[in-house]
Amino acid sequence: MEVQKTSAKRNITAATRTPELMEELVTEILVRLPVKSLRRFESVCKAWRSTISDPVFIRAHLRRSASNWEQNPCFIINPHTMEQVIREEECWAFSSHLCFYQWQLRPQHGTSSCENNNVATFLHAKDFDGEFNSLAYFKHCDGLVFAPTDTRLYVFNPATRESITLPDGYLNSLRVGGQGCCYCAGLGLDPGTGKYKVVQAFYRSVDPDTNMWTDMGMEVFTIAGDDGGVWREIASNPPYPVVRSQTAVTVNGFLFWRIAKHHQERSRAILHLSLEQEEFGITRLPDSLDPSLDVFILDVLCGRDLCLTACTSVTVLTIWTLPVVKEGLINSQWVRRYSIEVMGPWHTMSLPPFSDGIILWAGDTVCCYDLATSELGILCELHRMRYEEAPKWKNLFSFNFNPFTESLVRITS
Amino acid sequence: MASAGSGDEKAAAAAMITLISSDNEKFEVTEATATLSQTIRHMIEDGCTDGGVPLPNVTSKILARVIEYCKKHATAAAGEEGSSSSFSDAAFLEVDRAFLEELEEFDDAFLEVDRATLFDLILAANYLDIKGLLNLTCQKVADSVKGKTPEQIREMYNIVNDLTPEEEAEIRRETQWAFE
Repeated sequence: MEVQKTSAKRNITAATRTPELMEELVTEILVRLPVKSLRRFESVCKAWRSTISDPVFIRAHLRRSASNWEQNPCFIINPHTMEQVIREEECWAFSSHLCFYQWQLRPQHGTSSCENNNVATFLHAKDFDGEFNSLAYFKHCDGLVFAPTDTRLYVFNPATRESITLPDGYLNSLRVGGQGCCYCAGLGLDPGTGKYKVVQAFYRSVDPDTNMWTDMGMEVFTIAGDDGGVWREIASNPPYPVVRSQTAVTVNGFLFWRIAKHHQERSRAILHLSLEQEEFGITRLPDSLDPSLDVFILDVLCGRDLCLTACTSVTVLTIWTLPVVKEGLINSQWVRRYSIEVMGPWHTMSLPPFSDGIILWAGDTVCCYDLATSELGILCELHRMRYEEAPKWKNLFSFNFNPFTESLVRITS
Repeated sequence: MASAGSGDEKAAAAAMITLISSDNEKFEVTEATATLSQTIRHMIEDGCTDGGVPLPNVTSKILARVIEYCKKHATAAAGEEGSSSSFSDAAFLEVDRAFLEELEEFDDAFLEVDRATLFDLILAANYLDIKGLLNLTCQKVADSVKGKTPEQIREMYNIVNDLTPEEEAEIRRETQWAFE
């Protein structure tokens, strides 16, 4: 093979110098290609294949994908339907056919309505044959989608069409369930090893007086790790128990959780975990936020900032951001970004300058708050969206909606 | 060509740099234009640009195009800097948008070249370390190969398929969906 390659190279005349260019700058060009083209080009030759599966290349491609997001924000939608099922008894359950669609936010040049921005392209679908009945919030990290359900935890890379089902927790068994079970997990990157980790909470004991579960611990599962795929208990304990049903938000190597209500009022903080050190800490809430009164939601913006959106009065939504750097959270300060006249809790999906206004999501509605006119306009209604190659939805019930940066990140070893 | 750095002209010519192509043609450009190239910026910082900057890897034909690109983008950058301090945010955004649109048109026209020229531009952009130009030209190539099959890629770029039939069949199985 080597001989053949050399002789082929020697035959190249001045008019066809292109292969030399390709050798020198092949990564510069490949890194600018979408995932689908790259998966296809793995069969061009050995060199291309090894470049495309090189972890350094995968990270460079991800960085580019993330900076493209800042030019053209893009989102991933999971439409969830309900199905009537007969197990022990007849009941309604979420369909276990999970579908992923991609939706591009188009710049609003004044005149556009949701009419020309309502097409979502198909990415991936997989059927889990009734493995679960209900779903939690899905969360995105570096092209991966973490999908927790009432019985199992799944991780997807919708762009490469890979998915894994995590083994049942060692200390928190979703499949056994019951009162002492936590539906509280998150996925994020350990920047030290470049591996992705899933962390889930469990209760250590029940208080005999109040019959309440107390003393929380957490366990961790390394995706495509070298440990054979087992859950491992985190040595330290979180200083406060967290809300029992929630999906953690991940920013730059940290996971963030809302602390259980009565502790939150006392601590005025949220819990964080460094995925590299596996150490817990608390991040104080913004001083002007009253956690006993104000409903708040956590999101991640551009993979860099933790975003807190709170209903600070019946008609006012206030948005803070906290920059999260790899070095830690010690010097991070909340910045109050906007206070806008908008009712009800919303997720903040994007802020200027990455979008023309403030992009908000709740339920099946994605809105844009125009800062110049102070008006909230609908960008799209998720149940009215045209989903390419989609079946005719029956009993469309709810949606997961997340920012999305496609990546080649591997989740199988 | 004016000889930079001689006597009285020194002050006036201070901001001018002479670039010398592989075929020995001299191009005089402003420092603002030249420093879009990180390679040249470092040379200026190290004070080794007296008597011109020889660029043995770049022909006059390609260098002329590169300079055309740098001139346009240096002007745009200067315009943005000037406007940011004197306009309100909204006005600045408008100016910004107009600049961007004009630049986009320029870039599109700039890329109307044959493949050999495009590759020479990529090599020059890489050698001179001009991020914007490297991005522009590589993206153009990426866009042109995006929808191709592996067979078409091998043909276009004279790449020898060194995968065994078994290996190729296995990769194909894993990535079948990407061919649909």
